[in-house]
Order: sequence, then C-alpha cells, then structure tokens
Amino acid sequence: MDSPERPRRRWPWLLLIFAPVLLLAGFALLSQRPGIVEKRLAAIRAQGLPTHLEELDRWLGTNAAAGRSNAAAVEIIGEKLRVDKNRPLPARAGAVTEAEVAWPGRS
Amino acid sequence: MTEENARPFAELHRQLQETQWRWADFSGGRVNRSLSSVNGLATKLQVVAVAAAMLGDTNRAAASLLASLRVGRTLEPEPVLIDYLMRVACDTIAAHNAERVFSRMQLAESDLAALQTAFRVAEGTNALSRALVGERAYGATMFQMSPDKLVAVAMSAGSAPSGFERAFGKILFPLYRAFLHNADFTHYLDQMGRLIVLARLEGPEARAALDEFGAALQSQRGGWRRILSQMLLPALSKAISKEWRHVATMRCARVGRIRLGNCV
Repeated sequence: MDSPERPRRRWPWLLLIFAPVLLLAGFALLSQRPGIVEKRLAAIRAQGLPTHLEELDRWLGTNAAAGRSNAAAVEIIGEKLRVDKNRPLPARAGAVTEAEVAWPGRS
Repeated sequence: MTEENARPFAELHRQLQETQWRWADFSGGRVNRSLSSVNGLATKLQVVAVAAAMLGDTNRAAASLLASLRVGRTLEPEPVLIDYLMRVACDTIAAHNAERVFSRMQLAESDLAALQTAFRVAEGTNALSRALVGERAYGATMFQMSPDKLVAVAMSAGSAPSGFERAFGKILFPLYRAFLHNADFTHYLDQMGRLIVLARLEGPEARAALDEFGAALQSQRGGWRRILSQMLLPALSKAISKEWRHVATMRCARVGRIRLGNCV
C-alpha cells in the first residue's frame, strides 16, 4: 500500500538562507547603534570645538590671511638661505627616498 | 655669516617679530602646508649663534637664540599634532643652542632676561591641548571620508596603495562601514576627549591619569572591532609625555639662566 505523498516543506530552506542575513543585520544594528556618532559630534560642536578640517580656520579665529602671508615670507627667506639649492627638500617621512637623504661623498 | 646671507638673516629677524602666523590651509577638507623651511631655519640660527659665540659677538649670539625660539613660536597657532611636534623640535634646538652659547660666553643681563622670558613663554602654552582638538577634527574627517577620498589622501601623503590593496579595500570597507564604523568612531571621539582633558593636567596627577589611560586602552575587550582608533590612539597618547619633556627642557633652560645670573 502506497503511503500518501506528504507535501514538501520549503520553510527550513528559507530559514537557512534568511536567518544568517537577519542575524547579520541585527548584529550590524546592535553594534552600529545608529545616531550615536551624530550625538557625540553634536556634543563636541556644542562646546564650540571643531569636528571637521574645514571648521579649523573658523575655530582658530585669527587673521588667517595675514598669518599665511607672514609664513610665506619666512618660506622665501628660508629658500634664500638654502646652501645647496639643487638638493630637493625632503618630502614627508613616508616618501623620503635615498637620493633625498644622501649627499655626495657619503659612503 | 657671509655677505651673501647677511641680508636674508636680517630679513628673517625682522619677519619673526610678526605676531600672526598660519602655515596650514584647511580648505577642501585637507591639510595643505609646507613646513620644510621651519626646522631648517631653526638649525641655521643655531649655527649662527654658536659661530657668533665663538667669535665673541654677544649681540648676534643673543639675537640668534631669541630668533630660534621665535621660529618655534610661529607654529604655536597651528592646530594639528605634527605642527606641535615640529614646534617642540624647534624649541629643543633653541635650548641646546643656548647651552652651547652659555658655555662659550657671558651674555648681557638684558639678553639673559629676554631669553628667560622667551623660554617661559615657550613653556607655558596650551599648544598640545589645541593640537589634540585639531587632531580630533582631522581624525573625524578621515572617519567620514569615502574609501576613494581616503586613497587620495594616502596618495598625497606619499604612500600610494597597490592595486591589490585598493581591491581589498573595496571589498572590506563596506563591511567595516556596515558593522564596525560607528563603534570605532565613537571610541575614537571618546578617547580623544579624555586625552584632551589629560593634556591640560600637570604633575603626578597627570602621570597617573596617563598610565591609567594607557592601561585602559590595552585592557579593553573587543579591540579588533576598533581598527582605526586602535591604530591612532597609542601614538597620539605619546604626545603627552613629549609635552612633559618639552616643558622640562624649557624650564631647565630658564633655570640655567638664573644660575648663570647668580654666577656673575
């Protein structure tokens, strides 16, 4: 006697696919705590402190144009006082090459 | 000192009397500046001061010492930590320079008084606290950048990422953004806030607080989730001990002058 064919249940497969996705989304939601960064940044701004590079000039509040012109004048003097003008100025530490730090005759 | 460079040095002394200084430009959310000449000038003034001391030129030696301290002061309003560290380097050059000059000649009382004032001014600033506030803003800008913009910043700093690193970043960055970014960013902001408060403390209380800060950073669980802040914070906290050393150096230079004055 043939046993009646039982309807095939599909939900375990669906669960297997969607459960990890739901778990990951839940973990992301819990670990990210939406809005927490904005709250922290707002608290810093409320103290009148900068939270972005573009706010630094306003925060410093000094006469930036005069300051830059004075710094540029000192740079020009520094260039006039350079003994070996052919030797390139060293770049930032990560980009200094052997040619920039070495000088003729150095073994 | 030669005929050729006497005029630029005179110009430099005149220019350093100015009070407004700004080396960096923060437009476009980037730090654009060149500090290559600052350290070089401090070193050149050191050479001039020592040479003047050897030749017995008291006025020039004193003027060069004062000018080398003023070179450092041009960086005082700068709000990023690297500028602060450059300023500490300039002040240290000036203090060592003063030792070399003092060991060779006796400066006039008025010059010694002016130097003492200049060292006191160099000692008593809130430059580190301001630099850390600026650094926090710098870090916050980085945390809010898109991966492409971060790559552009890395390239402008001189370390261009390889193709593999770019591809790796393209895969990992969205995952970091989805799961870890907010916790990492919040941790960075909180700890920077603590460091800024710490930078304003002095004495044994400050030392104990810094030790506690370092221990807390190391013992916190789940550090792997705070990728960027774990990379940035230990290096930034070292600036505080640098500031203590700087204050001590400036204080020693000032006290050295008092001892010299008593010896006269």
